[in-house]
Formats: sequence, C-alpha cells, structure tokens
Amino acid sequence: MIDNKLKSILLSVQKPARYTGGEPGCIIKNPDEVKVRFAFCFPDTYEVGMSHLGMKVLYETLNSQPDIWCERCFTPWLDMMQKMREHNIPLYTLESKTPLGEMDIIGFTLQYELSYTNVLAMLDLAGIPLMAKDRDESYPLIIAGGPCTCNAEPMADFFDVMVLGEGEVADTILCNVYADCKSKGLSKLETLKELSKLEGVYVPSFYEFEYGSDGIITEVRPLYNAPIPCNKAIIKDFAHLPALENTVVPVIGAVHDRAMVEVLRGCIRGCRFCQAGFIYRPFRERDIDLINSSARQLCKNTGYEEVSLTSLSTSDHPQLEELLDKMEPWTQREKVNIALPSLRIDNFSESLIEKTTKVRKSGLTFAPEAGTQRLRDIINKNVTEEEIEKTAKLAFAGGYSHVKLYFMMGLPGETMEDIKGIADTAQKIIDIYYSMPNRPKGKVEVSISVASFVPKPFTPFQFFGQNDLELIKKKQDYLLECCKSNKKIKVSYSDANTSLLEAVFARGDRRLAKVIAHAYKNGAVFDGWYESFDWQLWVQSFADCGVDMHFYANRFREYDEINPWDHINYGVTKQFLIEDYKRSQQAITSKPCNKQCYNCGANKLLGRACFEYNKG
Amino acid sequence: MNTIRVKFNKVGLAIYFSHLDLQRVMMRALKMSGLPVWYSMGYNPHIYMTFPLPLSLGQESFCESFDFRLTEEKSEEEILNALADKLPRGIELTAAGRPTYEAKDIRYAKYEINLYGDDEILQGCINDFIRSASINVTKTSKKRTEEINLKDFITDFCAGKPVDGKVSFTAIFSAGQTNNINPALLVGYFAEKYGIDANSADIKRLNIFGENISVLQ
Repeated sequence: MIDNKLKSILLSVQKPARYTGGEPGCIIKNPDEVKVRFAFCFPDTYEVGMSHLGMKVLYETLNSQPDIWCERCFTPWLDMMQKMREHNIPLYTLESKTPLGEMDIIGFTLQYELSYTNVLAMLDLAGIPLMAKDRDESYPLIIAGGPCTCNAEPMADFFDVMVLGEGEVADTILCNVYADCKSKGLSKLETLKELSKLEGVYVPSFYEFEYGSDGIITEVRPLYNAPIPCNKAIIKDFAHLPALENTVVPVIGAVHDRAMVEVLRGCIRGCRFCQAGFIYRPFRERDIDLINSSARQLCKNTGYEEVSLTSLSTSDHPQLEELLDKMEPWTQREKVNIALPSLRIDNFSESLIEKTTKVRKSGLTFAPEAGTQRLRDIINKNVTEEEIEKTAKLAFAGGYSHVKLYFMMGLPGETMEDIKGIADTAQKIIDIYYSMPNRPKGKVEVSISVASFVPKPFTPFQFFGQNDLELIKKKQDYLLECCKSNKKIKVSYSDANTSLLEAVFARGDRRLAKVIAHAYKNGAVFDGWYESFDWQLWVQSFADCGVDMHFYANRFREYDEINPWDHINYGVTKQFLIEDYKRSQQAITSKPCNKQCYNCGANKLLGRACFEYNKG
Repeated sequence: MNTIRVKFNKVGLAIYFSHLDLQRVMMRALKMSGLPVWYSMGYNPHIYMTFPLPLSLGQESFCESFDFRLTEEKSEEEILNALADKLPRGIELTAAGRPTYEAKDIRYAKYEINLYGDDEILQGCINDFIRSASINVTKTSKKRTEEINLKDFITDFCAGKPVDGKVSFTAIFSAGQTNNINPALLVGYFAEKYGIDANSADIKRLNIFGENISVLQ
C-alpha cells in the first residue's frame, strides 16, 4: 500500500513509477500461501534492470513455483534514495511494498563490477547489516548470482551465498532447500552447510584465504567439507528449456524495451578478451520450434512490437535462417519487428538483412574489436579485412547509412600501428560508401566507439596486466589525431578511470571488500553512471584502506599464481587458458568450437562432447 | 472503419506514470487484445490513437477516454473483455462505444481536491480563495509563460470544513484546447503561500463538460 507519506515522496522525485510496481504482467500472490518470499534485487535503476533478460527469466521461473513468491526491487535513483533516508522509509519490494528485511531471501544479480556499491546501498536502505558475519538468523539470506560471481571475491564478505553459473534450476532448488531448513528450525550455519552441498552454490564464508608477504594468495582452505573446486550450475538440456512466454512490461519503458528470446547459450568463437564467451560454455542452441512458438506467445502476451533473438552470437545458430522463415508469417501479420542484436561480420548475409528489415530499419553495429589483422588474430576475433568490407557493402546496399563500430584499446600485443588501424578501418568503410553507385541517400556516418580493455577471469587474457592510465591516454589522443581530418568519423571512448576500477574488481580478492564498504560510506554509489562516478573518492578510498589498485589491475599474473577464482570451476581449465594465451602471443588463432576442440574442459559439464565432429 | 471511444479511470498506482506512458500502455493493450485495430498506412505502420485531455502525473481521474479505430464491428463487451487484463493496476475500463463528442467540445473539468495540513491553515486556504478577488499564478506552457488570475477560470467552488488535518473541496476548472487550467496551479498557490505539502494533495478529475457546463456523455 502506498500511504500519504510515500505518495508525497513519490510525487517529488523523477519517474515515480520506478517505485510503484503494478505493471501488466506483475505477479501478486498471497503471502500467507507461500513458503519462500524472495526479493530479486537488481543493483541499478528500474529502467536498466527491466531490460535484463536474466531477471525476467528468473522472476517467471521462481514464480512458477506455487510455494515461492519472487518480487522485484531496484536501486532507487539518487533523488529517491535521499528522500527514503530523510523519511526513514525502508527499501521495499515493488509488488507488495514489503520492506526487504521481511523477506526470506534477497537475491542480487551481479552483472557489472561498478554496481557493487549499489548492492551496499540497497542493503543499507533496507536496514540490513552489510557484512554477512554481522547478520544472524533474524535477517534474510543474502545471495548473489550473475556473471560477476565467477569472481565475486571482492563482494564475498557481504553475501551468505553465491550461485555460480546458470540459475534457472539452481535458484529454485536453493529456495526449496532453504524452506526445508527453515521449517526444521536450523541455524544459519547449519542452513549454509546444507546449501553448500548443492550444485552451483558457493558459500564464501566456508573458504579461508592465506596470503604471502608479496600479497599473493598462498592457500585457499575449504571449511565444513565445502567443495573445492566449487562447480558452476549448468542446464544440460538447454535445447528444450522453456523460454519466456510472459513478462512484466514496464509502463515507463526500459533501456531495452522489447520481447526477448535467448536463442543459444555459450559461444563457439573463443574471442580471447570475452568473458561471456568462456563462462557460458559449452555452446548449446535452443530448438527453433520452441523459440518460434515462445517468441510469438511472448509478443502476444506483452504487446511488444519488437522481438529480439538474443545470444552472444545469434548468427551462429545453425538453423537461424530456417527460424527466421518460420517467424516471418506471424511477425509480418502482427507487425512485429525482429531484431538480431549480435551478428557476426563473417556470416552476415544478404538474406539476413532482408529478413530483419522488412518491418522497420534500424542502425547497424559491428564489432571488429581491433584495427589490424595482426591484432585481431591475437585476440582471436576471426574477422578479416575483406569480411568487414563485404559487410559494409551489404549494409549500405541494404539501405543503412549509419554504421557503428566497436573497438578496444589496450589489448595484449597492441602497438600504435594498431590504434591507427582503427581510424583506417573507419575511413575504408566511408570510402566504400562513396564507391557505391547504389548507395542509400542521406549522409554516411561511421561511429567508432572505443573501450579500454579490461582483463577478466576465466579468459586467456586473465594473466595480462591492464595498460596503465598514462598509456591509455596516449593511445586515445593518438586515435583522435588520426581521425581529426574526417568529420564523418565520430569517435567516442570509455572513461579510462572507470575501466581501471573495473579491472581491479574483476580480478580482485576479498581484501577489496573493505575498500568497497569504505567508498560506499563516503558516498560512492551508481559508479557506472558518469553523473555520479567520483574517481577521486575511489582513489582516496584505496589510499585510506592501504590497498594498491595496480596490484590488481596492471600486474601480469604468473601462470602458477593462485588467482582468487582458481577454486571456482566454470568448466574451462586454467591449463587451457594458459595454452590459449601462449597461442595469442604468437598471433595464432583458434578455430571455432564446432570446427575443432581445444579441450577447454567445458564439455565435462555436459558429460559429452559439445559437437559431433565426425558428422559429414 | 469505426472509431471507438474507451472510457476509463486512472487511479491508485496508475497516477504515477505520465500521459506519454499511458499512450504506450494503451497501444500495447490494443496490440495484445487481438481486436481488429486499424493501423496507419505509412512507412512505419502504427496504431492510430487519440486522447482528448491529458492528465498530469499524480492526479486521479474518473473520466478519462481515448479513441482508436476498428476495421470490424465489435460489441462493447467484446472490446472491454479483450482489453481488461492487459492493463496496469489502476487503469479501470468503464465503457466502450461510439464517440458522442469531439475533443474540441471540452470546455470544463470538475475536480475534487483534498489538502492536508493543520486545520487552521487549511481553513485559511479556503477563505483566501473565497474572499480574494484574484489568485495570481504563473502559468507556463510550451509556448509561453503568463500571469493569470485563477479566479477567472474557476467556478462552482465548494469546500467543506477542515477536519483532522484534511480539507476537501470541489471546483470546476476551465479545460480543453483553449485556457486549459491544471488544478495543480491552485494547489501550488496554496503550497507556496501557506506552506502546505503540494505533493500530498489528492487531485481527482471527476467529470468533463462542454459549452455552458453542459454534460458530455
């Protein structure tokens, strides 16, 4: 219920509907008829969180259980946060307006390193102690999932439990076991012991770390028979895993406001910088009839005019064209646009353009990632110059005049030649446009967006030390210099300080928890938003806590060093990562998984080979 | 092709989203409904839809409506059933049928307003309105900013006695395509002059009227 006090506050902040719930598709249950009340917390704004497919999937999955009521909660924007503090309003769930402290389980999804302070802000706003050790049985169980849990050591002290890997099945099991423990009246410690037996459940407090005088980990010791390594949870039969058919439709819109169906999981490409490409292995595709019928049902149930076929690399679905043919009749009839967000340059075809631009035409984005062939080989982005040119031609012929290109700088083995290569690639695309007699009308524009490379755990580049700020600055300046003469090239790049902080947390360990808590107490929140990111505050917080950022971000990690994530098993072995890193140093590419197996280890999660290599 | 007018209330949780959001909500509801809705024929086909009198965020209404077109005949019951469970909480459909007036016919809207605060201060607000010859406020629109006397645009002011920190009154405000007066201007005037909390006020649109305060059905 919204009382007069809350109403007055809501009407004094921006976009109050972020905090009210009640959207079409929002699920209301009777609290007396459920065993587990679960608050799914997304540590960012409503509009960001409501764009996230994973949250939508888990919301529907958990709520499909009659005994579980999953509600939603997002980080209140700065204005609302301030008002809630002023008026002592505890953070509440959108569905029932229940304070988070009254939930059984509070689950956060850790999607991004710079949302960590938002997690603390949400716990704090709910009146819940930040540190797991300070919370007894009277508090909800605080858990985390999402890609960052593959090395969530920097956040380990704040959580009771972390779910590793795929949560669709694991989360439901966790809730049921938790309900069982609760009904038996087990203590928090006993409950955690029970939970730690589950596949994909990591209890951070059950692992003790020892450090050497150089600050490097010397030993990780499991307690209470906690598994070592701790395996990620995995869906073995992804092909037939039911896809979303219903979802909450935000009234005020979302960043990505459309129907989404995940067409495949994992990626065959093995781009060496890409964490998602390794932690979601092995590659599994969904059945196309299932995708087609779910997509149709989802559009019917939500009224969305666009359906996105999402994945890490949608054009790698072996039956994509067949799927698009199946979807064509109803999408045409019901005026639904099909979006293919992750196409690869090397298999982007004319018929794909045609099939996806029938209803409406949008911009086109490609990610060559590096400016020269040599560097693309190093990072294993197996895209050739010719393919980029061919794609640009196809895109222009297909009616696009704006092309956006994603690049990275600070990659292993990068030289200034490679930076110049970024500008050259953009220039070449503009030249292609003018060389075409049948080019679309209007102005050609090539936007290049350049991110600073952040080395991530479970990638072959996990060993690599990030370029320091000075070098990144030099490279950025040089790129601008190279593009200065051409007004048709628009350059934007990510903030290097932000990338440094991401790198610190990505490969950080438990000793960072105190820095995060300290920074939060000094005002750090919404660090992923440029309006509130305060670099100096972070620099000061690291200094105050006596923690060196460069130890985490810029140092090369020796192969035999114990990393904070080495006791976690995401399938891909460290031996494979070392071998693949060595291949990269010689600019030797790896073939896609479906062409050749490099024994990364992920197939052991399935208990079978990922592909039938001898077939045809 | 038939133009259909659906009437609805916007209350409770639905007061927290804007007119623009409401348009999108209705668009999706029509799409989900499976009704034979008419689409514009342009390059980007879209559902043709009009709303006569936008309602400000934070205000309730018991007399909202929007128009769209159907390519086939459908009964009121069929239309309402098709839309019923596709809407956010607080959007309550009340009727559907052929429009009987145009948006430009709207001249007035009746509101009920509740103010909260100290009884004595609330009585002061009411007395001020009744006794003052002019209630001057600044009205800003996309086009211009102007000083207006609210008393020129408000009739049938009818207030009760403040009780337990609340006073309730009704009034008819000039509304429609010319001289549209947002009742929040009056609440804002009281808030500024007497220090009451404008955001806690309840503003409810009860009814709309045509020329000479004639009933628009």
